[in-house]
Amino acid sequence: MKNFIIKTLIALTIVGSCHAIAALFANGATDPFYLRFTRGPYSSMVLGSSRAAQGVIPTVLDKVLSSDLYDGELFNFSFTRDNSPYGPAYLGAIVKKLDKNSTNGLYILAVDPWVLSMPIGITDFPENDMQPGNMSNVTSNPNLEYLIRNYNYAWGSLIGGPFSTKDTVQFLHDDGWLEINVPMDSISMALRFSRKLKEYEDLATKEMEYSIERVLYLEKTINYLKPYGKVVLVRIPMDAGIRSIEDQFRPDFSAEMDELAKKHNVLYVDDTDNNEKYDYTDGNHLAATSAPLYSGWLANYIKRSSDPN
Amino acid sequence: MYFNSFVFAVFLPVVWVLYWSLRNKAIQYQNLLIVAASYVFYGWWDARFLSLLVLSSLLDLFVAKAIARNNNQRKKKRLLSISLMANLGTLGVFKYYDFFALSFAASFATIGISIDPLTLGFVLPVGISFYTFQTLSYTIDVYRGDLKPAKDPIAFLAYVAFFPQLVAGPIERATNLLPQFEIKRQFDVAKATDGLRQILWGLFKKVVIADSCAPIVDNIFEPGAVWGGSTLVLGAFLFAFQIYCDFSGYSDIAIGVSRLFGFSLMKNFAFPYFSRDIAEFWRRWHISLNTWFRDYVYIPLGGSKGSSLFRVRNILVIFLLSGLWHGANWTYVIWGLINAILFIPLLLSGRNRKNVGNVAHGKLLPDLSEFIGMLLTFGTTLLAWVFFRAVNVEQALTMIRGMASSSLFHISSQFDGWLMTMISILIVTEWVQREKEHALELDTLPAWGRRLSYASVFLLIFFFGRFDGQSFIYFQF
Repeated sequence: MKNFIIKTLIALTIVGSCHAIAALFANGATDPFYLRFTRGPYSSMVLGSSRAAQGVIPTVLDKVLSSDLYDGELFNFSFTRDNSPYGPAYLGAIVKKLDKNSTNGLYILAVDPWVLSMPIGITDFPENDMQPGNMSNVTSNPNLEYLIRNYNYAWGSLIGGPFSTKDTVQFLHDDGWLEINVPMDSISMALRFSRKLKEYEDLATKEMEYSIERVLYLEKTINYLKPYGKVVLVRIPMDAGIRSIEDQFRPDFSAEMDELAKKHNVLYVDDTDNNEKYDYTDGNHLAATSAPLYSGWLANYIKRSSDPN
Repeated sequence: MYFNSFVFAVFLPVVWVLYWSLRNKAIQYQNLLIVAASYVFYGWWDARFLSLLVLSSLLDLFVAKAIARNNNQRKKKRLLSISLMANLGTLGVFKYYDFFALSFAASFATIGISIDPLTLGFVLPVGISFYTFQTLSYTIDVYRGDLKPAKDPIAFLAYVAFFPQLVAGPIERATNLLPQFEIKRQFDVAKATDGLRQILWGLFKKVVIADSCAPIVDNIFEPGAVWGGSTLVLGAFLFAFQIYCDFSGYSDIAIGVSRLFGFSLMKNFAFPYFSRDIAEFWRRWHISLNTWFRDYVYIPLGGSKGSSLFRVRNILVIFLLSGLWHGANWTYVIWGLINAILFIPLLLSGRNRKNVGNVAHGKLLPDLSEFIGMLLTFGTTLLAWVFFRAVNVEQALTMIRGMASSSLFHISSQFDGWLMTMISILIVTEWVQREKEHALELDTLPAWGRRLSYASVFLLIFFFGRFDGQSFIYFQF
């Protein structure tokens, strides 16, 4: 038995070492989330769903906003509508990601009706078992917990080469911005737009309902972050088709958010009426070419609003 | 807890170390540990359903004891009926009630009578069909006098709940497994080492092939999807390998894990896709279920004795029950029926036991007639699998009609070269090893050859595996 145990331990050590080495190769091309769990803690963050993940570039805001407006680098800790709607799981992850020494941070909270909604008939928060809700460690590099829990492929594929599963469509930058590169020809775009419209029509009419509980969690998130710096609520632009569905789903959403921002004495930024200024990959997400434009506009807006003169 | 999960990778060595650390104590301690570990393993999904497992075990424990104590045949029969009704009743309520209620309402609707059926909408407890059949076999064997009732209740609970085979088999007979819980287990290096090899091969089949086939198959079998002929054939082909690798991979891991603990489980698959006719296929596919039906249903019905009509009836009953065992859906019934239709001519012409040994025994390659037989058998099972996988009968028929189109000769957009390479590696390895217990039984190779083989399989898993938490298909049955 002793020999069997020794030989098995040697084999397991080799297997474990191969996995540990492979983990060192994980990077922004691994998947759309991994890198966000390998940095930090941060004293300034962009929070929200995939609209924020793809539409707000932290380094662009860093360049525009003077360093005395907030401490440290801004980091995009946004995920998707499914993974990071406002709720206990996301708030828990934000708490873990936050640099608790911060007093002069900037927290951009992207809002839309979907991150404040729940699937119809569901009472438990469904995102609790997904990343970032299922992660206890959100700042280690390499993040073995993430790879064990959430990486769906063999770890050998992290090394790259012919076995790689890394895709060329999406790349997660060091600042947390998710760059999406898809064909922007009219045929591809029309197909993606029509699929996204159908998806959001189904969400609005069959699948989701606006959740007061999620709104309460948004307020909890604002209240939690306020002592650490400046909180800004942002509604990121989307194409007119999606906007129209959102308006039917929650007609007074912008006014409600404006009111909520006033109640908590934070800034609310809404550029959705100027949505024709930007390009979209699918109607719902800003294109990689428009993300710098929007991020620059947002930075300047925040700068102007913060200037007492 | 899935075999292909990180949790199980921690669970298994912990239980293994605890188990063998008790080897010098009384056997009850090891059995008690197995019961506790098995209940944790099962309760990991949903602890509520643990009560069903415990109740089913206790019922059969007491009923079998009462049967053995009793000399009155009528009372024995009554006791057996209690076990049958309780076990099959539970299975019926959880698995079949809604199906029959809806089918009943639908049949009345065809004659213009509208009935609003009362459905229960219960969640199906994982592995209920497996452990129900296992406990039933124990009580029936005691009733028949083939087995003495378990002396030690802990050993019996361990037999029913033994975690490697609890949720997806092999469905063990008490005559094989229960006695192993009643004697002291000795650690056998050769057995344990071979167990690890079988686990490695099972993992390869599950995470490299079955789980890589799954997303493509799901895509092709998506209701409402429209595909060309070549893609539909590819979907059936990949599903054939998905279900084989998923289920036989599970069995390999279950048998391998059991061997680490000193137990021997029955073989559940014997390279079924190398079968030369459908009768041989059914002797090589899900052996533990088929022999269960043979011993507890087919033979009591008269088996292959009696008139042709009688024999046909028995075969139809067996295959329809086998189909229904998989689930409450007409697709499974038709799948069973197709297999029965393919089997009956062999039975009636006395050729159902023509191909009993291994194909191309002692040779490298099969002869032409064997090869054609294998191709035809695989082709017909492929068509039957379409019914098994389809959401409903209409979808299966639409897909089969769609296969016979001119687009059959185009290369499918769903074709994945790497996956086909992996399937080729599987076929070649299993062909070479077809006379062995499992494909990685390598005792005759020198040490360097064995190590090279382990390293190769590990690297295939390391580079090509998928770990997206895909459940095993047979967990749902």
